[in-house]
Amino acid sequence: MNRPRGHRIQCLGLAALVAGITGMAAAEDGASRRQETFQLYQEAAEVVSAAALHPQSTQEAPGNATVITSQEIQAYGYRTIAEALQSVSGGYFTDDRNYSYIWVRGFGRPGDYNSRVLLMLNGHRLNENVYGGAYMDQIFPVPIESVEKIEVIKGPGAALYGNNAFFAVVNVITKQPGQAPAVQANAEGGSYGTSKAAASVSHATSGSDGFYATGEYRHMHGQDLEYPSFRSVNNGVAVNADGEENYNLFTSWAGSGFSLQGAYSDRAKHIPTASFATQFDNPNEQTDDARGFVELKAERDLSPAIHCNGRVYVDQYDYHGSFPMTNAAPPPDLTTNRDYARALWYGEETTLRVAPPEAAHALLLGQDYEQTYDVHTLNFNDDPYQLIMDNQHRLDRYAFFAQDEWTPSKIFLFTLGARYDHDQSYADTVNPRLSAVIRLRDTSTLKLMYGTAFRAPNPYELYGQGLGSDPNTNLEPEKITSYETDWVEQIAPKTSATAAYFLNDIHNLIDNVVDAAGNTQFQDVEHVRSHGLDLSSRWEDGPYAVRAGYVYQQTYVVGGTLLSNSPMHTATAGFVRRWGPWGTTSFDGLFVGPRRTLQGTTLPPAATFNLNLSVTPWRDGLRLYFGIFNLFDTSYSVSGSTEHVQDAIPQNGRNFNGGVEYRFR
Amino acid sequence: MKRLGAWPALLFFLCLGLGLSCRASDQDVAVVLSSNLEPYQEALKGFQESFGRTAPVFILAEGRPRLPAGTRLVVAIGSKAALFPYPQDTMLIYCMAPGVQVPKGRRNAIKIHTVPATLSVLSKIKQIQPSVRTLGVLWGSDATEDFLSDRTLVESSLGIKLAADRIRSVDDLPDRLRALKGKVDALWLPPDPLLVTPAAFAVLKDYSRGNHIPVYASAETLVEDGAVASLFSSYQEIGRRAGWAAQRVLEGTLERTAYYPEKLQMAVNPSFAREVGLVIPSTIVKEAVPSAP
Repeated sequence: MNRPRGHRIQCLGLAALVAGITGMAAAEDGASRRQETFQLYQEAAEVVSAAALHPQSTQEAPGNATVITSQEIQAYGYRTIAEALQSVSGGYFTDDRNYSYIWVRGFGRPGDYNSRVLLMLNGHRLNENVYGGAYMDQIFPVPIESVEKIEVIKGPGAALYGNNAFFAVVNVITKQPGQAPAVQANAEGGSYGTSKAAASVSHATSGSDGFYATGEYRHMHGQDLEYPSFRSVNNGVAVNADGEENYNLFTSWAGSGFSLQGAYSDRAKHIPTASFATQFDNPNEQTDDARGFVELKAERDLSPAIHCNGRVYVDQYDYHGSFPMTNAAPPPDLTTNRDYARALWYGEETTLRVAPPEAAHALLLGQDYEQTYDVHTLNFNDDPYQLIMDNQHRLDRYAFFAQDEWTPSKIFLFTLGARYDHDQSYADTVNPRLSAVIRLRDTSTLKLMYGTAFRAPNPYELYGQGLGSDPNTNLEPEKITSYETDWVEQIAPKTSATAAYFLNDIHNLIDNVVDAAGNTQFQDVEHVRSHGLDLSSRWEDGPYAVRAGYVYQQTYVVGGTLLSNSPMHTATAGFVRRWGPWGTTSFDGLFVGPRRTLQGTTLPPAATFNLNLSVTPWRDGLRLYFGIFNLFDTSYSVSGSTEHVQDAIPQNGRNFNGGVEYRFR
Repeated sequence: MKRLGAWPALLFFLCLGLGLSCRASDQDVAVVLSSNLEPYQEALKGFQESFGRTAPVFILAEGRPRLPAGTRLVVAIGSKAALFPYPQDTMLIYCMAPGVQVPKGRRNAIKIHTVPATLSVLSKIKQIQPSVRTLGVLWGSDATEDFLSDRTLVESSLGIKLAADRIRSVDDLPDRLRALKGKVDALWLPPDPLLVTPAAFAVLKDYSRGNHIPVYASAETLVEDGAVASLFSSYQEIGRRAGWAAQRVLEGTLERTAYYPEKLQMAVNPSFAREVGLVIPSTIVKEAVPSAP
């Protein structure tokens, strides 16, 4: 009885927030003299590099670009990259109590490990080479406090980046030695027995050259969670089965045109959902993911017109899952299924950008090569020993890409690019991109964009076997063809509005389905089409900053029904008030419309709100912060995946996080 | 007849030669603006007045500038225009680009600062607030460090001690301000992109009001955002200085790599000054540009 009332309050809250934003935006009367001053000073400030591999303003980038700054991360109290991405219109993350999944413009497939989004750290690809996973939760190898900005480019980016740049490219930029304090330390505590410590050290030699190192340790005891599907076991309550522990380290050095960066993260998570048909209420079900890399990069200006860039890297990913299961032939009654995956890969990339000042063309040429010299997936039951899968593969891939930015007149900027990818595990693929950025006025830009992208079937989908799943070596890459029109109004440096219409046509969508033998198997099952409207705006003036976004979209199987787990409506809004040097208060909300679960039930709409407070009270270098998440304790769930018995997995109720930060100069 | 016949021919060739040399000289110089932003247009106007000759104008936001062959000097107005990769052998004068350092690897570049030299700015602050003894100076970008090069001269000639404090990011601002509390009589912000943001001024305004520490800024409109006064040069004046420098470059008589505009202007916000406990002398208020509230 209380829930509908709660929903009314939340909807009214959201409506008031949106109305407030609209009113304030209307009050802006063009670019005033005052805004011009800020614009002059901030001319080169808000740029993205991920859209075309060189710095550009978000207005001229050939994509739907958003930048999330460290100030926003701090003000809104984001704890992970996934939470920060919820501030982008159409962004929404879900947690299946093991991994976080991000939706882009309402599209999200449970259990895809975010492999349809390319995640990078300072331009280095973080998607791993077993599951294609892009981990934006605690597995991310840098503490959130060390993030300077997050560039989000919605739309396909395969013409530059190849695999995984399917729906979006996310590039996380860490703080540079010149930006970070000499030493910073954070200590946090929160709901569910969470504690965290993070620290960073920085030494700048000149400008952004120097040394930077950061790391964190975090532990969460977790909750006792109730799942009605398992009512017969301990009344459906999983006790002590939600804990999490992680640490990460990141270090970078830059000087004399060279830069070196390396990162490592390790996270262990207990799983309370009894996924993969494991025994319920057994705290021994857990996964452990470790991800690391080292990259050396060199940049040179061969002349003012020619810039060249080269890098070499070594990457590693390790996974271990323990799944206690009822033994089909006791004794013993219980056996543990062990699931291992390991990949080691190295590669290189070179790019050359030629942009003669007198020419109307700026040309980018590039190539990359990567060898995954060991992908090993192993699955067995330990007592009695039963080997289920032991696969080892070596994978080679290489690619060539080219892009021309052509400015034939004052008004037009055309970007024409294509990338050829060869990978031994699937057919060669060529992905073009065409975009026209039309400057209608100083503040108004129209973008017309066309592009294709692909997501290659990963070793897990191709060869995965065990725990009731079958391999499928005949999988073809998923292919997306995307058309998008954006209207961008850049009213002032920090005040903009964007309206976009997008149409995505996806062939060979790979989904986990139940095959004839009753096992799950990845198959190229569907031709899916998605189209919709993406509205977003940002406004900042004096102590106030406001953002709002709304996406209406329809994703459906061609000739069939609406795709599951794909809400038609998502809306996000946020408000920050700065209190001079004393701190900030923020209030933000997220609304997700009804969506169908994989099992066919419909989840009701949900609105959640967060309140954050940051205070810099009395002592030099000290900051205190506190946040209440899901402020109104909204009860909401997300769709389970094929490995779950539950059709819906409840998300966290009201929870808290507080911390103290100290900065030494 | 013979002598009369030779003179017109000589005159004709002289005029032709002069005409060609003037034409070539005009095409020696090109002006590149970052965008059509009104301040850049005002600076362009000042440049054209001072330079006295026409030069082709390119707007970077409208496309890559196609410099005429033989361009020896580019006058860049705005940060993006200043950072554009012009041919290495082309001389560069850049202005209206606060925070921009001489582009990497370029030796033949001249910067026109956005405000007059520190000594003249601080003399005016001394007139506005005669009691100022210690002045806090906050800055962040490498390029702003130039404004502290006169430090010793300022301290000896004006009797103002400078408490300069570099910040790394806007996140540092609350701490740096707190550290200056009780140690400074006023704050001066040189033209620095790290500090001229709505967010930074929101912090500065509350700090100034809460601690009765007047803030002096370097752009006219910042008196609307919490500064009691701004000491600046008009955009037109900055353009004029660029035009002056361009002439000297063509004559080969320029010696330094950075120049300050000469004419200092002032905007004041008397009501905000009262809030922070400062009474601005009426002579100063009369002297200020009328746009101030």
